[in-house]
Amino acid sequence: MDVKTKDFVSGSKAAILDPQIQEALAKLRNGLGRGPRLASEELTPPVWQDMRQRASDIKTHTIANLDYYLEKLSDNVEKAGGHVHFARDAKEASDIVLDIARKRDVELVIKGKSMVSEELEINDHLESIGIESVETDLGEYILQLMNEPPFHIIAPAIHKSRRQVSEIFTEKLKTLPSDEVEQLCETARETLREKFLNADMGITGVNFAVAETGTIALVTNEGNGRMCTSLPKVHIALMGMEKILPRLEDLALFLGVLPRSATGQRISSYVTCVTGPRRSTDEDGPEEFHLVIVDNGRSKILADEQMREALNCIRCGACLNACPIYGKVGGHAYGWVYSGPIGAIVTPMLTGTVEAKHLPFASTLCGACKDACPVKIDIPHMLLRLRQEITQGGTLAKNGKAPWYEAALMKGWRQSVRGSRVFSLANRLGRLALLPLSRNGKVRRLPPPLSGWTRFRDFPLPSAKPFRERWRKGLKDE
Amino acid sequence: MPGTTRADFISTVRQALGRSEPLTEAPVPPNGSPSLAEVEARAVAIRQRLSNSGPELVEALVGAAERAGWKICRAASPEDALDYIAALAERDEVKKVVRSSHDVFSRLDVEGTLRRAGAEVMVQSRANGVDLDASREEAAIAELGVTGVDYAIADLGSCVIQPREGISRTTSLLPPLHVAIVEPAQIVGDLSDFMALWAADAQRDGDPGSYMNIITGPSRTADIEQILVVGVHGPKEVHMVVLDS
Repeated sequence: MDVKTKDFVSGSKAAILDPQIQEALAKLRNGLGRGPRLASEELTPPVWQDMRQRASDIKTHTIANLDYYLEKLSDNVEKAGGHVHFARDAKEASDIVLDIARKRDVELVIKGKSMVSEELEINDHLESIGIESVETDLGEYILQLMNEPPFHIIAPAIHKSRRQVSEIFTEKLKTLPSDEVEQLCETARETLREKFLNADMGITGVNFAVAETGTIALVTNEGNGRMCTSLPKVHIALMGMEKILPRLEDLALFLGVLPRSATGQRISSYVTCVTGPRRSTDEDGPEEFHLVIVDNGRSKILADEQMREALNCIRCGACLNACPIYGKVGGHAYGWVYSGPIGAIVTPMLTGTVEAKHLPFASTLCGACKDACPVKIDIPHMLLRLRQEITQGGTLAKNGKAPWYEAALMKGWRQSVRGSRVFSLANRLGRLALLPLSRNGKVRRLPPPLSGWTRFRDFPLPSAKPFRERWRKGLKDE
Repeated sequence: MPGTTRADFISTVRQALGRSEPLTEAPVPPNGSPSLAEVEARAVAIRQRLSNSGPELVEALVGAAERAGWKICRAASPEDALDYIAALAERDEVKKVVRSSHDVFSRLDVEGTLRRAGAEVMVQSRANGVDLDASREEAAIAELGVTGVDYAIADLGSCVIQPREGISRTTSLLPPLHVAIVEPAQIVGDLSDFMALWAADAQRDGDPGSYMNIITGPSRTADIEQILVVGVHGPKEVHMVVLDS
């Protein structure tokens, strides 16, 4: 997927002005966004908190020993008869997939929803060598027909109306228009059923990979994941290298945590676990199983101890649904595969902080993401760390340094808030300086370089009688 | 072969973790690292507890399954179960049926019943002389798939099916209508029970099996306008027939 992170400001403005996107985002909050609230009500808050803590501990442990668990996972996938491939970057990963497809004379690929596959742009690569690759998750299928990237990790096409879906089906599939959502789903069922039955290769993502047994687990609702892992003769599973859990029994906890956070379900319609290809005695299933383990920038996150926790993410989308910024600007503004609070951390780390410098600032630091996160990732802390890197031109953000006057301004601010005397003096001076620009206690327009502050909002004039003074004189008298 | 070698890839990871050598001892996860004997002992204890539990497990399963979107039949006798399945086949004018060869069918003549109701039944098993292509083609046009289960999970209302010899992946997937037959001895309390038992089986056999599905209700999506629609790619309607012990 092309990186368009530098267009965050224009992208978010476009989304804010789009009534349809705003309607979809408003619905999201009480739709998928109920997940963590429901979980807390159903399980009682202490039980839910305990599950989050245990999940967080297991992820942190696994990531801290990732080299060990990668070895173990690979050994066990191979022991089960599967093949394991390692890809340093997106290019290597897609070359691996193309190589397998060529060797097996693949003509038609069916794909399950996978965010890693979006990093790889695998559909484009397959099509460039003449292989048809069809997204089979309903939302992804709609977006593939429309040639758009996903808007949300869990529900990729929620920003589209049924009318738009009907129009694209009519245009591309030559079906009759319909304003019944059920009918549109039926059209997709019938069209994709043909693809499922004729495909030579299935590509899926991985929700969890169990090191102990070499098992990969997929959490789905539609049934397309089961099709992709049952019908074609070759199955390729793509995973970011952080997706590992140590033991089979850990799945009990994580399968309780992921669907609750993602969709508010106690469990998804289907949980599918794949361990290698079909055995010789099995009735059916793929003859070949390949696991492609992808780094693509993740080792950079791993190397930074303050950012490492970002690899605990299980891609549930709860932080997107909780975030007041995502809730206004939606997924496309973030300009790459991962959006919302987790995207604001992961995207700059994976694609470069210079281009993605706006992303860590697209947050009110309210902490709703941290509260919603099923593995308790301290997203606000990491956003602050990235902001610091970007403004001070640190190791993560070469050439990304803020202008000198901003640094000077911040330094002055820091001095002025450190002591009460300096602070009230600064307040008074500020009031004097701003008085000529103000009307009715508000500054409508600041001169450059501060004009950005007042482009969309007024700046309040510091009060003539500061709070500290009123407090000293006793607020009761007022 | 494209890609990075395993050694190089893992060495990069190790360096990122600030280490230059592999760990000399296996790391112990925060939830412990049970020995093989402990895993086995826990499975024995779970089975013991389940075998001592009364009808509350069936009650819990039926309640949760109904909430998850299964249609429920509690069969007091094998005849009740067969009548229910026959009525279902008649309702939909079912012509073609596929079924798995789970053990339960040696006690329940689903095949004979459905044939008398006018449907053709294919048992998707190579032991019955059915090859893979024929089996899949039949499942793709069948209106009904009938399976047993390997486990049922009471608190979630889920069925567990582990495809293997005699159990095709397609029986519970391709037909629009799926009937799963549950026997009380197959019911476990929750997901932790099931995972512990599965882990013990996997360890004993040295293999967890190639495939495992936990099925909880019909196929569904909310991908268009966040409106829930039942029946996308998988079965549109699912029935759980719970036999009386």
